[in-house]
Amino acid sequence: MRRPHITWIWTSVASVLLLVFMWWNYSPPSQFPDERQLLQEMNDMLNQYRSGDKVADIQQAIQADRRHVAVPYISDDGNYGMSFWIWGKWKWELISLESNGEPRLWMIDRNDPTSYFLTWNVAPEIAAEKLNAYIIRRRDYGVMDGKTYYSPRVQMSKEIVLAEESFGAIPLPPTWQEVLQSSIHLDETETFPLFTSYSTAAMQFEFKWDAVGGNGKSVSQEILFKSPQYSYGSSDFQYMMMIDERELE
Amino acid sequence: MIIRFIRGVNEINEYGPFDFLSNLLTVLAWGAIFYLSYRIYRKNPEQQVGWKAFLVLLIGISSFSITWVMANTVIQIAVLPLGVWILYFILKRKEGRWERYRKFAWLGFGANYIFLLSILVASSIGHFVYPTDHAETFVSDVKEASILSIHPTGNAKAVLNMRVLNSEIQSLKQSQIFDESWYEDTLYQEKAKYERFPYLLKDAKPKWGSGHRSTIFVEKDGKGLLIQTPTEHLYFRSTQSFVEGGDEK
Repeated sequence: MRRPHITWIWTSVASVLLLVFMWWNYSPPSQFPDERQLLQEMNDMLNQYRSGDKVADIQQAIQADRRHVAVPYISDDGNYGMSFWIWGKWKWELISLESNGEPRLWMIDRNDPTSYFLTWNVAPEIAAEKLNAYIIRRRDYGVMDGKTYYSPRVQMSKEIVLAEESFGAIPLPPTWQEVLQSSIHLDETETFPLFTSYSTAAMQFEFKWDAVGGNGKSVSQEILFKSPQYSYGSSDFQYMMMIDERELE
Repeated sequence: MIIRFIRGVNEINEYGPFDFLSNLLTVLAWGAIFYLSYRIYRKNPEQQVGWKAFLVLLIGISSFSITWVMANTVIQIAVLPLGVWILYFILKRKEGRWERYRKFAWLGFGANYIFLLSILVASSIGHFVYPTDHAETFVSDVKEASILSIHPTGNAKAVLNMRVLNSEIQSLKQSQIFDESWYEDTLYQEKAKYERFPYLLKDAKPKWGSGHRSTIFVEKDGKGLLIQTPTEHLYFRSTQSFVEGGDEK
């Protein structure tokens, strides 16, 4: 007699739990915090780590996608830094604060090149005209199990004119995405779909940068960026190395 | 070696082009299994419950199997009937129950060999219908295809001559990626900062139903195709160039 009742209770408890779970994980992001709140939170983090620095000015909040925002800033010590925010559990979280605006690749989902964002922040007074970003995959060839193989070298570049954009967060150029995608798509998919692993094909690509001054000569890293004072928080980023001209083909 | 439960399911999950033959043979294999189980069932329908017999069959499929790759085909040979053992311990607790369902459990284990047979048949027919020594298997429909320069050696303005590629595709000759002097050549190329395959061929479709995944590169002179599949790298030459505007640079 009582059994239907119990079934009903269990069903409703289960559906409420499911709803809460969905709400918790997939709720749409709220309004991104305003400048005052951003300053507050960033300075809280700096205080927490006992850094002497203080964020003076937010340059811009750059929406990478609905749940990811990059915020370049200027500090009291004259750092041109970068902060990264994600819509986490129910609030906008500051996940990383970097005193130094060196080019970084924010890989939101490693297996999806459309989710990669290139970020940088260069002090405008520095005499560099252009920032070049590179995607490189080394040439690979040989004989394995009696079969010859050859993978062409990939080397593509993207030019950023610093006078127009001294800071930014931009998606990869479509051609880069195309090349990455074509390589990921070739990866074996025999693994269980339950485990999402990083594509090994995507890992073969390197992302690098260099900078060119008004005289056409390359500008060294030391001039372009102050040595990093601090780097707080998690980093799901790929740091981009500076490339030597001789490495380029 | 892996343990796989309910095989035949995860093949369907695999993304990539539609593999007509293995899908067809998987359907045929399941058809054969259903037919056999129906024949067992019909002998004495009073003693068995249909859905229970079906469940026993499914559990019976679980097995410990050896996996290896033979002629580019993933083959799994069931060795230990894990599902059958589990069923035995569950079913024998009631008098006569194991005896009634035994045949379905063993049919489930036997199903592994029906799947194995279907894979072997699919792959051997596949070798004839979709030969890997024909470029046409990988590049059959080029209506939406285009090329993309991936290295400074390539000319950014170069475009694909679809008409030539379309007419040449059937007569492309497979050849060696490297002849005797390949190693020296490649070292020389590296010094000369030259890439032999500076274009990516994108959006070319493989022959219908072949299920072949590949990444394709085009040679600098526009006369060669490097086709990378998950298991090998193939190289084809044509007599005519199918790249326009690639020679100026």
